[in-house]
Amino acid sequence: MNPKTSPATSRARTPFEQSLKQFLKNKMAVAGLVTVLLLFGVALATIVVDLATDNAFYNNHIIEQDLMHRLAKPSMKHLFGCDEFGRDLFLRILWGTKYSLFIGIGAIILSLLLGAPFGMIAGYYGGRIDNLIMRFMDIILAVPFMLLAMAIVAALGTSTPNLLIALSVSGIARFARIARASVMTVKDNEFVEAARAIGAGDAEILLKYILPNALSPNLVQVSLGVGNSILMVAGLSYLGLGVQPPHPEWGTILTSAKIYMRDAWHISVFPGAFLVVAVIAFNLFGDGLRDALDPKLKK
Amino acid sequence: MSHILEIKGLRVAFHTDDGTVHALNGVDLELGDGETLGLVGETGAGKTTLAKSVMRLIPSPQGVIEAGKILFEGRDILRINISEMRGIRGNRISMIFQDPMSALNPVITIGDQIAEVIRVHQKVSQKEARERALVMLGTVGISADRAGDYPHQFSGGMKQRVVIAIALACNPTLLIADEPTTALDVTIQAQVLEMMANLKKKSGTATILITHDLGIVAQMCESVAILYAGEIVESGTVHDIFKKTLHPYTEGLLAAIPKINENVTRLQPIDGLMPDPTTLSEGCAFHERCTYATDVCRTKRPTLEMAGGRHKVRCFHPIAKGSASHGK
Amino acid sequence: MWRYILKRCFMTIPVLIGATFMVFTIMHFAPGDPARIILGADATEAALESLRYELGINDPFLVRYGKYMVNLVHGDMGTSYRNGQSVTTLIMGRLNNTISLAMAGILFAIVVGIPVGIISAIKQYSSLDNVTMFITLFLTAMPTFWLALILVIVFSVNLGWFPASGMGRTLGAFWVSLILPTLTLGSGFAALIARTTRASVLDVVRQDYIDMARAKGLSENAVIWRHMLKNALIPIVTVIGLNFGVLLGGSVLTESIFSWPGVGRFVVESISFKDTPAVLGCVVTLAILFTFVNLIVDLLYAFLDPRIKSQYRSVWPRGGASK
Repeated sequence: MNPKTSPATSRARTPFEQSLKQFLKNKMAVAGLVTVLLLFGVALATIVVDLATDNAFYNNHIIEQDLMHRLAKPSMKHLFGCDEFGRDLFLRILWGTKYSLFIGIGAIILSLLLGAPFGMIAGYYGGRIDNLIMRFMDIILAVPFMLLAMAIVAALGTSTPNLLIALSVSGIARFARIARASVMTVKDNEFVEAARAIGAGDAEILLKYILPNALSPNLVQVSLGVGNSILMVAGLSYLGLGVQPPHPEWGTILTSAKIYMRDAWHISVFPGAFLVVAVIAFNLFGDGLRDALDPKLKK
Repeated sequence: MSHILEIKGLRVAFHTDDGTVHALNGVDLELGDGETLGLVGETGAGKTTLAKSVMRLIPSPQGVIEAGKILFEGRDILRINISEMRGIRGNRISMIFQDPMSALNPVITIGDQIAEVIRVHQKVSQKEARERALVMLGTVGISADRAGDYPHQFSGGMKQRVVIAIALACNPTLLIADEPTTALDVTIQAQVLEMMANLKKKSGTATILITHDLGIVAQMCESVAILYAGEIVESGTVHDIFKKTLHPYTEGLLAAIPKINENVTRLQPIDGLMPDPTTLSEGCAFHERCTYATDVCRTKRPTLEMAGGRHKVRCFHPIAKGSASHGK
Repeated sequence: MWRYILKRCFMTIPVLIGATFMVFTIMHFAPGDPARIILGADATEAALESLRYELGINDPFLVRYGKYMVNLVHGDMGTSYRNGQSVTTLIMGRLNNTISLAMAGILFAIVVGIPVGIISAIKQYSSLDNVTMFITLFLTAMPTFWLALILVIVFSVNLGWFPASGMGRTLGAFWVSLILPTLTLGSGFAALIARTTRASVLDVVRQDYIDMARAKGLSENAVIWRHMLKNALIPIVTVIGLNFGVLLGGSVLTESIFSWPGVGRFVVESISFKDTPAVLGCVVTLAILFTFVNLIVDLLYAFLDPRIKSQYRSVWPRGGASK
């Protein structure tokens, strides 16, 4: 028989390129990413302004009270109106971005960095180490997230490092579980056995072979967890256990919203709207990330 | 011989985000009463689509039966309403799915799954249906005290027997078995096939046995149809296909089978791949891979022609011993 | 079956002990001198010292923990620094309210979420589906307290249909006052359940055994109710269980906003009053409640998924499963 050429070979793309293309096809995910980047931009801009003006702008417009404009409704001059101390709400909200973003993301990353190693060790070694670590995580998870955070804040105080600790503790247990599960699915694969056969030590196997493969569920969990983290920061601040006034964290602003809700609906609506948008953006991004990394989950 | 099933000019397409997949492009098929037809084809040829079309289980709206007739006992079942079709499914026409691992509902006992099909079609009580289900279990060689077990408690071969029990519970006239043994290992395969042969002898059910394994066809079937790129390219009795092969594709399939009694250094695959189902080519669907292809093959589509008895072939240059019309 | 249940129950006890130890340790770091809080700013040092001795504050850590655990087993969670009452009494008086609100929230979420999810899945890609997906996306991202504020502004302040805070004392008033808090607490959860249900149904509907059920000649309804639902429920139950903790956390916020007299609001108050025993008691109580609910969810899961069950009583004539 004559040899026939086979049809054109399929596009040879790296997994990263394939995932990227998949992600970009998802319009909602891209919208989420763009919004997230915008929020980052705002947060960074506010930090830069503060540094450049040596906090002068901050003090003048965010902290200083101007009781003449107390509870002013939205207008051209004050886009979102003013709060009960006459401070421009729009500016306060912009300046509040950095708290939600950085504390929210920081808490999750801390959870990942502390939790994943435990999970990986538990999943890899199994047996009594696994049992011990997982019981420990069960104990952490026995207390509802919010309550645990509140208790820690009550004990340690409301400074930013303490907030980060309070918010990351529950997350540590969650990431440990996910890391453990993904390690367990990967470690029985043959390439791990092969690595051991050529003399790779445990640490090398964990870092070089298992970690890259177990990574994507964790990444997805990070982006999905940021939204929840942001809500937790806001929730704690709302209860007075988070970022303290006069700092304009979105939840903190909403504390006074309740008192003045009859006269000043604008204080309630706008900070909350920003919270919702931020959380949705991270959730959409996270969903898109998950779909791009694991095509089996697509509709 | 009366035909229990006649398929004429069946065209089925699927509309996906990546284009329209032309799964079946004018399939013609006949099955006689009590006969076993082997439907042979590579992966992607359209075998399962054909099976599901007869059951009218093509998922809509993506899947569309664009044209054709399927005559079951003389009636075009593509034209009857859906509740009548439901009366036929599982009752007069049954289907065995390819993968026994996923064909059974994991949260319902196997006994209940068999009894269910009985209750749907026969007006009997729950108790009566269960008793008949136990009888079916016995027929397929599963002990009756396992009726309360769940699918995950069974091996692959036994799961497939349960599926067969469900398919035969209402004594259908036509059984469509979609690669019933592909997912099983060879020894279990032999057992299941033997059981199916026995059941067939006892009940005389007409069967379409879908497979890519010509050995099974030789063992179990009376007639054969070769499916390629959504068309039947050759059909006839087992003897016709194996001994009087006409289509180059069939020839290639037979040549590709490793022969245990010969000393061979290389296997003989058929070069190339099936054409992309999202594009309908001009000319014969097989011409790119065919060693006998000529210009006419590239530009015109051959039709299914009679070639003696029940033997039909879709080719401009059918292979015949001593025929002068093949070769470049 | 019963052995499995008992085993699970036993496993929760060490976890609870560990949890109380963890929380006790955390609260140990709480600032403030309890004696001073109780006696006030102008107490003499001698009085403070003697009170400290009485309260056992100067005892070593493990001794304090030991005493606390012993008391806890007897149902005694100590005395409130704020008003000297038994913490147990204070909490028990409020626990019902928290539970009724939480249950109302869950019920609302399930009753609304599951049907919406099923319908969305069945009518996938329709405009109903798209609208539902949009609304649920929104609801799952909303902070509970913001939703509460909006609901109160619209329904209390502007429309005057429901009270803005408090729990009604009479039967009728109780139900009326329960509505806004339930909506607040339950909406986010309902949205989550709807999304999970939809995804689960879509996944199950693609399985071979669903096609097989159709191939048996079953009506579409029978396929959905008898074959799809039980399988689809499994991930939904998982999600409900996993998120019950979030719900409890949300109830803290909801109770605060609506001044609902439950344990959640009590915890917030106690924190601001530095009433450590009360805080400790609340967290322990809620942790126990939470663990208990998780246990029930786990057992429910085992009941739904026969792959988890180790024993099963068969209705079949010769009875009993072999293995």
